[in-house]
Amino acid sequence: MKESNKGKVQRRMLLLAAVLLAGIFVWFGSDGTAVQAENDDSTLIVGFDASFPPYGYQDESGEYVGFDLDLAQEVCKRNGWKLVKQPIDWDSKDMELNSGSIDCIWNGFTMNGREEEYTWSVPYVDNSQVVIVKADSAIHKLSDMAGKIVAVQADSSALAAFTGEDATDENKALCESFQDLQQVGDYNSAFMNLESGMVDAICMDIGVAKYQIESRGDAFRMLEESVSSEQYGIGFKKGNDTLRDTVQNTLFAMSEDKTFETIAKEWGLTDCICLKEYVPALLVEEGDMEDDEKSQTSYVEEGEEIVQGEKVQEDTANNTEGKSASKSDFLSIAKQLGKGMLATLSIFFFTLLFSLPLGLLLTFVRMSKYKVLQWIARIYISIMRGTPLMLQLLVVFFGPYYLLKMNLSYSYRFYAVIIGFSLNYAAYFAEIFRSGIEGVPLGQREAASVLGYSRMQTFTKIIFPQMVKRVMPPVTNEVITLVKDTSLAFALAYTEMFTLAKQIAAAQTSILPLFVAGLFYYIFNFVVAFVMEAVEKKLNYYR
Amino acid sequence: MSDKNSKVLLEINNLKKSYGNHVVLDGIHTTISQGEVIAIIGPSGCGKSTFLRSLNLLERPDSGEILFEGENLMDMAGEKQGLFHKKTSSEKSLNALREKIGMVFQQFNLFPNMTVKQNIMLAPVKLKLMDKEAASKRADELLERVGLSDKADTYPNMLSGGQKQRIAIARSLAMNPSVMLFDEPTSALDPEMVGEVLHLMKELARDGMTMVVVTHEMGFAREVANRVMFIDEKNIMEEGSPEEIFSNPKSPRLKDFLARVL
Repeated sequence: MKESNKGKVQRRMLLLAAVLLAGIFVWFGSDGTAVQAENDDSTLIVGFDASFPPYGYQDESGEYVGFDLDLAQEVCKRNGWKLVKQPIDWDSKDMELNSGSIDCIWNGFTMNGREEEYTWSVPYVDNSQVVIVKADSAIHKLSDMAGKIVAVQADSSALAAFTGEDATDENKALCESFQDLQQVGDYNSAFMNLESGMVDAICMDIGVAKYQIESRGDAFRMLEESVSSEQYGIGFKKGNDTLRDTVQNTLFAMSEDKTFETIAKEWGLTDCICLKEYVPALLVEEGDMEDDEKSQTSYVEEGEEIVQGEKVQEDTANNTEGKSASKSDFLSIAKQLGKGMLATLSIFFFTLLFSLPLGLLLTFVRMSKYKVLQWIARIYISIMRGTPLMLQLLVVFFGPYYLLKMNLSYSYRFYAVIIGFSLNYAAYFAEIFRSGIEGVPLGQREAASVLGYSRMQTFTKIIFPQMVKRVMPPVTNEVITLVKDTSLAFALAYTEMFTLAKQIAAAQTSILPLFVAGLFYYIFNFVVAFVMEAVEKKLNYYR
Repeated sequence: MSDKNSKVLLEINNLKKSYGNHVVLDGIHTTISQGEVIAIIGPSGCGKSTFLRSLNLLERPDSGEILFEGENLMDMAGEKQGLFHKKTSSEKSLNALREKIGMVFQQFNLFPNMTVKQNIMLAPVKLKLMDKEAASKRADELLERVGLSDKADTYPNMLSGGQKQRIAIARSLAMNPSVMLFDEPTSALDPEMVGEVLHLMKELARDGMTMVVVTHEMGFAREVANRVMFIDEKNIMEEGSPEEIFSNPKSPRLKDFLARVL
């Protein structure tokens, strides 16, 4: 009687624990950017590349800020919407938009060459592609770049200007003359490449270039000639005219009452904005059209020396201090990374929570006496181990939309990360468990069998405890790998610690945040290894 | 000598077993009665272990009958089952019968993750033969009987080979078996530990336990067994009292075998 009561209490405790875990899981899922939001009419989910200052990036306090985000915030305010700032992996922006996980791409998004792919707002920033070299470089004009190595951001408009379908013959020829055109992930690494002499020049948007030169000092300079000029717009999913019109009309209104200009001034972009040209005549009442028009076209074409140019200094001097680029010390970086650490921990924790039991289940299927089941498990394991985890994550995240035409809810991003990681790690754990089970001597099973144990009793009392001991070292290996693999969540734009570190690095134009992140990983793994060793020692009471 | 009137425990009829094309046992007939101590001898690879392991279906014979107290074990067990296989009623009764047939292995096969006492107690409690208290009491008795009361809470890896085998015997006894099978119980032991195990087995025999022992210990066979079975060429070639077998062997192969081992 006593015994069965105890059993009941244990079962209840287990149930309670399960409910709690489920609760935490859901809470984390909804936590993405700490805004609980579903994809409904009252929210605007803006997708942006969080390492693209001054248009969108992360400031020291961990907030996503930037010119475009301020604009979006104002648009939302005027429409009574809630703004969700969703950092995305730039390479996946089309999938993000089409699957409905974001409403628009608003992030210094070049229209030229992409006219047919999105439903566009009118252009609001006039931007050019310019070239940055080291201050002491021998490159002074575009033709000097022949035979040199040039870096551009992957999938950027600079890349499109050289190799896109609509690239001018001139640019194509220029590109031909390079020794190599290298694609880099973000501008921070581009500058590291340039600084170390791995590349000779970087081609990028003028707004970004100015920001970078401003914060990096006079070690770099910008060529006077520009590669191409282009315009930024807001990209909506093809056919989503309603949302486009609403946002665009709000922008027009903001242009009318000068809010737009004020925000642009705050970000030092006064000379780049061009929205005014596109405001419908009906809305224009006062005739102050003439003043800024000319100067908007381009810095570079006017032949102004950007690096030492007073204009830039003036424009940015006042606001860079508060808004951007002041370098942080170790502690403040560590503090900023804290949120990412939590995300990393949650991926780690939930992946283990699901993949370990799933792995054991898979082991049973793999060791089943039915050939069919065996083969299903074999094929599953073979695919999971044979393809990149990053690809699996993309399939899990975007699969429901592309295969089943399901619209993705906002919180699915986190679930997809956990599902993807768990499915992958289960395959590895399954094989480790199998080797552990097969390593238990046959005699153990025979002894259990002659003592009249059922199969289940034999497994739970004799095989499983011995297996656990045997698999500890390889499981520790996997767990440590998992700690580092969590950074792959960036593929789904889930902002864990390493993604966050890259964003901070971009905003501060410094690589210190990456090293701080590295230190965090090391400490995390040190703790993991310590715990696993302690468990191993604890199991050493028998051999 | 087995008493003619004592109860027949095991009856083996026309037992056959082969691995692929290699025939190991070819039509064995014999009976084992209560209280008998049978020593099985023979050259290595002759199939004596296979025969012993067939008696509780650790090896599944290809054909024939194994009647245990009148029930045919061969009707009971199915094929090898997966972990989640639903137990059939015949399988349950096979497990019930196996409780009655104890077995001691050459490699002891103690469970390393349990203490000595847990090794002994677990099966009777799991199979609901006893409650925990009774099983604990029984374990203490058995430990005393095998002379290892002080080892109750140690783990098997702390024991010597001879001690391990004595614990394995105690574990088997905890099930109160009707018959005990010993598969070369002293072959894995250092010579100085063989004695303690044989001594314990001798005591069991004296107390009337039915035992079938595959062994290379001819001294034990001669002294303790009341029937010796010589297996060679896939069958029981010769059997009889220790005197008949050791002092008056008939077949040339047995003579040859004894000449080599004695």
